[in-house]
Amino acid sequence: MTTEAKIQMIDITKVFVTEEMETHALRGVDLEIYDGDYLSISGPSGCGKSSLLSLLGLLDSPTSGRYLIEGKDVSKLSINERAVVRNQKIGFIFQAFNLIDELSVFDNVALPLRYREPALSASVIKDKVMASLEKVQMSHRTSHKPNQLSGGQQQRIAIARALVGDPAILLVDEPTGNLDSKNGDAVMDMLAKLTQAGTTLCMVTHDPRYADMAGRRLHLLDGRMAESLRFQEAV
Amino acid sequence: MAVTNLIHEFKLAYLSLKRAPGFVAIVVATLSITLGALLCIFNLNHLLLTKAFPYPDADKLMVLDHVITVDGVPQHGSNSIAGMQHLYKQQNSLESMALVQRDRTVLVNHQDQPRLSVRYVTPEYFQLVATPMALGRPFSQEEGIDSGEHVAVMSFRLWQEQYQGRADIIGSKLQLGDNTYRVVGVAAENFQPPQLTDIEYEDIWLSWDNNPHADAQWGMFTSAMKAIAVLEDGVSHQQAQATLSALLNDAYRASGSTLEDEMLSVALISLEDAISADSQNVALLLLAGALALLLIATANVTNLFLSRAAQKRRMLAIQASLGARTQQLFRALFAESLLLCLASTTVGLLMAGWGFVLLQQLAEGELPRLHELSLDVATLVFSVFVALVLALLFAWLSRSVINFRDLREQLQSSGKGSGVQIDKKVRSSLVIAQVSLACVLLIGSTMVMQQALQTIEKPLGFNTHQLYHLRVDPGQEFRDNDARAALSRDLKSALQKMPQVAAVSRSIAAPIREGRMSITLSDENMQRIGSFRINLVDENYFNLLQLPMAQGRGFQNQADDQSSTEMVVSESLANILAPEGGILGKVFKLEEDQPMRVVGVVKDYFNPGDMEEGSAAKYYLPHFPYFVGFDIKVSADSALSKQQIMESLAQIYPKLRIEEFIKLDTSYQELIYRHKVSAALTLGLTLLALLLAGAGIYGVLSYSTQMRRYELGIHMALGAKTHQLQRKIMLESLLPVALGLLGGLLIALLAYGLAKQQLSQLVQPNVLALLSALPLMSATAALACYLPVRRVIVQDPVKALRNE
Repeated sequence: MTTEAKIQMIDITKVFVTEEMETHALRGVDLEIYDGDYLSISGPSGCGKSSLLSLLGLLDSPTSGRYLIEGKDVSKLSINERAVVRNQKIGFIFQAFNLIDELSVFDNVALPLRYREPALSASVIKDKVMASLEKVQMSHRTSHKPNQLSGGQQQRIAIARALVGDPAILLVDEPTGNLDSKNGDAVMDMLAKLTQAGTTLCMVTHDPRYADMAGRRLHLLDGRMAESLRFQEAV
Repeated sequence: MAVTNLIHEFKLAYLSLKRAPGFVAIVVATLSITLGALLCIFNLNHLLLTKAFPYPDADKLMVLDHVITVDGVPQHGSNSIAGMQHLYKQQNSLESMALVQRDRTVLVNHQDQPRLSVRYVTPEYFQLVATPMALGRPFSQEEGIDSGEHVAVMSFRLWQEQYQGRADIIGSKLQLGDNTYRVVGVAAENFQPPQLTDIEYEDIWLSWDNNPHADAQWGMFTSAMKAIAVLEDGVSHQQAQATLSALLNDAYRASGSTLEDEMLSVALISLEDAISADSQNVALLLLAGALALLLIATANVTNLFLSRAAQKRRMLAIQASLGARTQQLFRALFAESLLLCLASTTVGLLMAGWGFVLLQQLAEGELPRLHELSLDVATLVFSVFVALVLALLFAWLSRSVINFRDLREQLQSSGKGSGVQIDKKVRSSLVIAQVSLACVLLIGSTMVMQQALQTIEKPLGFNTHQLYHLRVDPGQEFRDNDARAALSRDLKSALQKMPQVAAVSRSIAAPIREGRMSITLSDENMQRIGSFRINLVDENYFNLLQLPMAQGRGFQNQADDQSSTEMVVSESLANILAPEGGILGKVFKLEEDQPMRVVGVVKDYFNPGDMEEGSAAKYYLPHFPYFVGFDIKVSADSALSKQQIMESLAQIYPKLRIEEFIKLDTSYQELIYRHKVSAALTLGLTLLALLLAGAGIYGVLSYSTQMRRYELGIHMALGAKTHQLQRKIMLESLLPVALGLLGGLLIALLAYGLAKQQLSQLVQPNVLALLSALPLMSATAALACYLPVRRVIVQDPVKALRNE
């Protein structure tokens, strides 16, 4: 564990403006994520969990505040610069898996590598994809299409895709929301193993059982950080 | 209550559309242009196919035609003037009959001496077509055939343009040619004379007695003469036809002008068939074209509506979740589509108005009744009907995209849901179809435009600058050939003496003009070679026009000598007459006893008024004044007016009338005006094709992009940069676009192959047109592919993932 924060959010706000009203999704959030952290973010519906995860993943821009990844301010980057950071530093796991229907399992997992610049060779891509699929025990289904797999299998492919680019952090959005409890538990076990192997992980969940599995638990309420505990400190 | 709801729906639709100006602009532009074309052509069809002529009992009006048969085989469709006059005087199967003879003559006692389009008519004419009068009266029965009365009824336009609408015109005397007429009436402005003998404006109607053709022999047939009639009550069409035919044929045979097995009969044709029948197929063909255009536009706009419906799914989902029923959702969609269709129809009606003007200019002389084109009730009703049908269609198709199951999914997904992905094959097929159709339109319009541009830019081959053509009417006094030749020489001398005149030559026809003379040419053994354009010119003609000789020489002072045996041919004709060369000295014949020896070959020139195939093949004979015509070159910076000519020539022969006086520069501009309009029109069509293609492909891809925005969001979340996504989408679109271009090219070639005969006059296959059309189409397709994607990928990925 290093003392240097891998990810740092300082006084982040996010306001959604429509013609009729302004919605303050996040109000002055401060957050630090350290290397190897297993972090869960929970809170009631509308508290800003998804907005926070979108900002963490550079899927959205904050209205104000600073956001640093490995010490570099990323809050003012252009769309393409943010795409590079997402591609190299962040791995996503979504509730709805978000696999591309038209692509095979192999191609779905290879997708982040194909966006790398300079381009990686086919053999490098193949090695990395196979390695990633082996981590989730899905290397035997490379040529299948997503719709030929079960929900649990699809989420494992999504995890392989998130891992394939060796990201600095995995951002996980309700990973069990579309799964039954058996498959949900299997996925959570897999994520736990990844964190034990040193992967930094930040997960949004409303399930207290899964939130409790994290080393750090954050609670959001009305766009504000209500509680922040470091597992080690608690111990 | 229902009205309040309706107003509320339209208010919401208006506000919703206000937020989508790009969508509104593309839909209105696409629909209004195509609706404009459709409404214009609909009006033409209504006019030619269904609209009654503006005469009382128009359905009872018949046109009499003569049919001459030899051994039972019809020979031609012209009418015997003597035969018509005989029927007029002797028949009793018709309640009323009027004779109409087309002619042209000069209005001598007017300072401008305009050449007028005249109709010699019998008094019944005005009753049969119920001529409304602005002033005075029509001809009375006492001013009919053999009455000795010389009276005239003026058209409203002639009255306004030449006499500034003077009220004292009634009773005044007009000298038309050699005769003087008393004006008894002016037809009302709204009078639409039936275009019986030709599709041209009629300036004046004259009493029959001075018709110079009235004393024609029985054997003289002309298409410039017609008769209209109403059948006697109780007499059937067949009975009348049989009785009139017997009456006519008996008199014809008695005249002694007939051949052994020749027979002359009468065909009674309804006025509608006589005037519109030949044009109805053209009108229907145009309607089919306009409907095809509307079909393409509708397909394109449908895609835009589907795309918009896809965008509105979430809003509709919310409405549905709040209890809105399918009908209510449909009503909301219908209100929006109806507003757009009504706006498009309104603009379309304006465009149809411009279309009428364009059609009147382009098809003048080709289609009848064009001056009646107007936005009438039928067109307005049709436009509202089309708007309603289109609005219902768009609303129904939009509704079909958003069933309740989809809406539930849309709500449940709420930012984290699974994206709907449109089938790649469907997407590709739509793009292929769009590109193919637009490509065919583009290739066709580019070819027509290039043809028109080539005509506009084609060098004439001679210099029209400072050149005039003059033709005078020598009148009865100079009917004798020698007298006319002498007059022609005297007038040439007088013209040469005018200070502004540099040179004069004599010819019987202007070098550039519409209408032409052709005479058959045979070889030495009287074997017919073909019928070729002819002009009779004097020794100065080629020099004056600066038409260079390719071989041999021009004429040498042989004018007015009918015994001359020399001829000059154009290069094109030389290639036909002697393809191997050696044309000089060869002899050809006009008649058995008229051998002509070729003494020179002159360079071809281009006459924009005569673009028939083979029109450059001309021959020239030494001048003889069948018509008294002159080509006049004036000095630099000088100009010549009709008035100056009249004053100058009046010293030689005061009664001389100018039949035609044209400045060749002006005449050339007038002749190519139609080609300029055609070029402008096809440029418009090219832009329309591009707009349709762009809107179509944009619609398809916009719709599919809406369906794929979630997928694009995933790519963005995984780190895809904007250019990578652009490249991906462009590459995906490249194949269907390329297939569409290939398909369009094949369809265009196939269409040309199938309709080669009909199309060869209009377009020639042109590689340059193809080469310019394809990249233009590709660029439009690329832009249409790029824009919808750009909208999604320049935003934060979360918006795509949330389907915002």
